[in-house]
Amino acid sequence: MKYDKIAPGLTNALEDYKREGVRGLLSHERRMGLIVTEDTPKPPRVIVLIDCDETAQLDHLAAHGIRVNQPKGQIRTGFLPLEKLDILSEEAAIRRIIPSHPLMLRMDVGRSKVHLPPPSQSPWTGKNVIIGIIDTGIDPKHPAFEGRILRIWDQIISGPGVAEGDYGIELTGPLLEVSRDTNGHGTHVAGIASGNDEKYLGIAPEAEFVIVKSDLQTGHIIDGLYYIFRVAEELGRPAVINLSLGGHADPHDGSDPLSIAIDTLSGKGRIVCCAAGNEGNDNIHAQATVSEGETCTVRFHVPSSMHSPLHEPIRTMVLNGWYSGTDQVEVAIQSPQGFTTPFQGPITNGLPRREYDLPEGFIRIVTPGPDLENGDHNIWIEIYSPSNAPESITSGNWHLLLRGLSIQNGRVDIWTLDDSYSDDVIFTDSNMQDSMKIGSPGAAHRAITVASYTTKVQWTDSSGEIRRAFAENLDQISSFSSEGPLRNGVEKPDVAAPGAYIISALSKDSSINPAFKVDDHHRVMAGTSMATPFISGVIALLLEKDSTMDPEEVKAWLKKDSSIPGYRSEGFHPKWGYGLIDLNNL
Amino acid sequence: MDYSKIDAVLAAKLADVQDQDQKCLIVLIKTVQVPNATETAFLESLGIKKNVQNQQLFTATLSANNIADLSEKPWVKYIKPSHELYLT
Repeated sequence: MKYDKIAPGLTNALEDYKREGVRGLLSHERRMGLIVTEDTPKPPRVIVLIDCDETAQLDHLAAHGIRVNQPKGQIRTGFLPLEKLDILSEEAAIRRIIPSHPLMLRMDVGRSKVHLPPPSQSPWTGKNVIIGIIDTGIDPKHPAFEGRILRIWDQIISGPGVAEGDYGIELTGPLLEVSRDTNGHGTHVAGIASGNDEKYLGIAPEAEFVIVKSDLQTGHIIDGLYYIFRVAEELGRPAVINLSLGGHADPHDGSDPLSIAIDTLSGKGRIVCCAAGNEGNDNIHAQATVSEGETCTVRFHVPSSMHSPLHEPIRTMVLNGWYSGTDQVEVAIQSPQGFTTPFQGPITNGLPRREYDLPEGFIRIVTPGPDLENGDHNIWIEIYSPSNAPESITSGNWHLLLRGLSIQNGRVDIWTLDDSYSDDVIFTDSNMQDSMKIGSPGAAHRAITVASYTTKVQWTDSSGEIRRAFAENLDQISSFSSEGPLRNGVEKPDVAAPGAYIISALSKDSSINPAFKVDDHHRVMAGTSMATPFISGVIALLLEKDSTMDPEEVKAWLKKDSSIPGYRSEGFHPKWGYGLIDLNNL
Repeated sequence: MDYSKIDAVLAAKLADVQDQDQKCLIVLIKTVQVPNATETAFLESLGIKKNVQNQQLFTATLSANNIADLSEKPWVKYIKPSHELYLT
């Protein structure tokens, strides 16, 4: 063993291991990249940085179970059983062996990027604030949440319900464990906002939770909003509710019922935080300009199941269109082979729905009179697989035809929805617009709507494999983060926060791709879902300072120090909002 | 049924309902103003809960016939369907 090549901390760990076995590594595990798996016979392994000759050939070390990840270069990374350090140190081409430090793996990366002071330097922990999360539930046994889950309204389990809805069951105390988060999303979100975890500390680690496990129906989410705020009122606490959810079946202007509920229920000490959505890379929005007496076409593509990203057949899809109430537009649908429905304008007497059985798809077009909330016209078109070929809608280029009957404004916005989980149906012509992709509830005017910023693109999974997310650029707005503004020009998103790639609590009841498992209690996820609880946690800290802050004051506080890195101009940006938050003045 | 108070998506769903009395549609109901005692009693008869004092937006699981009845009430502004959201 060439001890002069080995960093002292690593030498200490090795000696403690030789003396006490796995137990001797407990104090070292936190400071270096040690993988100690208690319930398998695998020996403890360590991630190291190797300083060596740039052209050194180290492949032969694999025969000893030592993996060197790079074939060349002065600094390389390695992964090996701890007890094989002596073999590595004997390599003449190696000058130094240093343990990897876990700073790269912590959610602290996100914290430091927004200048959030470490707990030792800040008096604010979210104490006496309620964080409400309407999501897939929570792992009630996760150590990061111990003793801080006040209630779970599990809307899925059959039961007598609560005052706000006679379905599901309210759980407290030891009965919390009846509820399970089998998806894992809600647990991860909760960890970001308020996990009390040595390795991956949440933003407000002393806040308390009121959880709603939901089927994600907007009606039940609204019930959940009433429930959480009612519980907070009873307990005399301020509350922030996290909604890491989204959709595109609404008018994208904040006039939908869920957005209205958020705007109505928000107030002093009652804040709602919503995700902007993850459609930044998806061509789900088109905008056409229609002239009176003229027809324009908008092309959209239905992929075959072979070519859709998840190889799922598309059996149903929807076009959700909106235009000004001052206009009257007729619509028709044309299939890939040119079969076309008749034109259909607004129908104000009786059922405003007509059906057309084309050889390539069954079409349902609904064109009611003006919407009674925002005064605009909605066009709702459902396309189903044809009766003669029920396995999927005919793939290829379809067209939406728009003919102006009476035009003052002329702008028509359309969004696609389909039954895949990957936004497979997309707009493909010049009408496609990378804008206005924030739907409800992110469209709620009084909600704090959050975009995602990428603070980490690499992690090590629980087997020691280094994983890299190639699609995202470090220290940039995440490409998947949906763009604003709203259809009516309202500025959304509001701010950006770390949302990729974030390590947080793992629900023991969820299944997980091993590439995303970091250890037995933590996993990696990315999305505006992860950015949102970051802000929810920050809002919990603000409410701890001042429990009377209302949404407008919270937004003003967040925006005043936000900025877009490298961007000189201040003000709103459709992708960043007012920019990455800066918590230096917290 | 007053279709002028039914939004496009709900109109699409209503025409497909087989059993007009089965409570299978999750809906959101907006009233013209805060319901008075009589109007509140009618909502409660349909199992619709009032959560806060000045509430004008209500959630419910109703049948097509319930929705038809509600749509005819002058104090109901509109009825819209619940949508399923997705995780972000």
